[in-house]
Amino acid sequence: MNHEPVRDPEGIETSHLFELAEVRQARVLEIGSGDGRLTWRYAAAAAGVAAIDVDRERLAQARHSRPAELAPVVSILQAASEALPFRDQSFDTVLLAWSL
Amino acid sequence: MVDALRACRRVLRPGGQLVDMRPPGTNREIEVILDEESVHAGIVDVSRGNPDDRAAAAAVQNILAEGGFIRETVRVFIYSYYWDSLAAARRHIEEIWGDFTDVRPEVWTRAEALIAARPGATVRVAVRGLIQVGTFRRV
Repeated sequence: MNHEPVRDPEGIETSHLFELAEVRQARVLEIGSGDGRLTWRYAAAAAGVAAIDVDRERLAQARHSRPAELAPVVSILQAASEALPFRDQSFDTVLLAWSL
Repeated sequence: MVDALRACRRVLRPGGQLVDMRPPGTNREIEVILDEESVHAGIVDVSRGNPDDRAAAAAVQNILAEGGFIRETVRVFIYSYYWDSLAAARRHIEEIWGDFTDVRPEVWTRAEALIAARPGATVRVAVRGLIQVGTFRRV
């Protein structure tokens, strides 16, 4: 039996994210992106997204579920928030998605 | 966690935005939905507290005190989880949230009774809780 819930089908999280987070045409770093559940909801509006997580299995799920049209926009990689493998000042927005 | 916030500051351009989204550690409501009619069954008690949530809140206060960010906005909204059976909801709550939550046995008893009273109804179980979004400007 699958015990995983359906999360926020009403899209309330996404609507608040779009209202508050500066993702449109922005270079976005999402920390704790997991299986990409949230990433796919906003990535089309961004200039680029680096989606990172420490969990290899969830990253594999993200690579598998990434919509084809988002492949040029979203990079998925394994990294920890304490040791970000990016240059200084390379993002407009950093999103901590349930990950701090 | 403060190290993570310092790393976020490093990779953000000056004036860039940090968005911190997470549960604020408030109780969650359990509802049984029978043919789209929602009935409150009880709460998921988080008063024990999640150590990670407390550490996250402390880390944010530290980085603000360091002057690396300015807080701009704090907002909360309701976030819902849905399962298609009481057993699935209970298992998830106990296995995934069990380290920091409690559900009194009578809540499950009440939920079972609600379902038993409506044989043939389509059953879903919802848990609704708050999510907090904070936005911060990189100095």
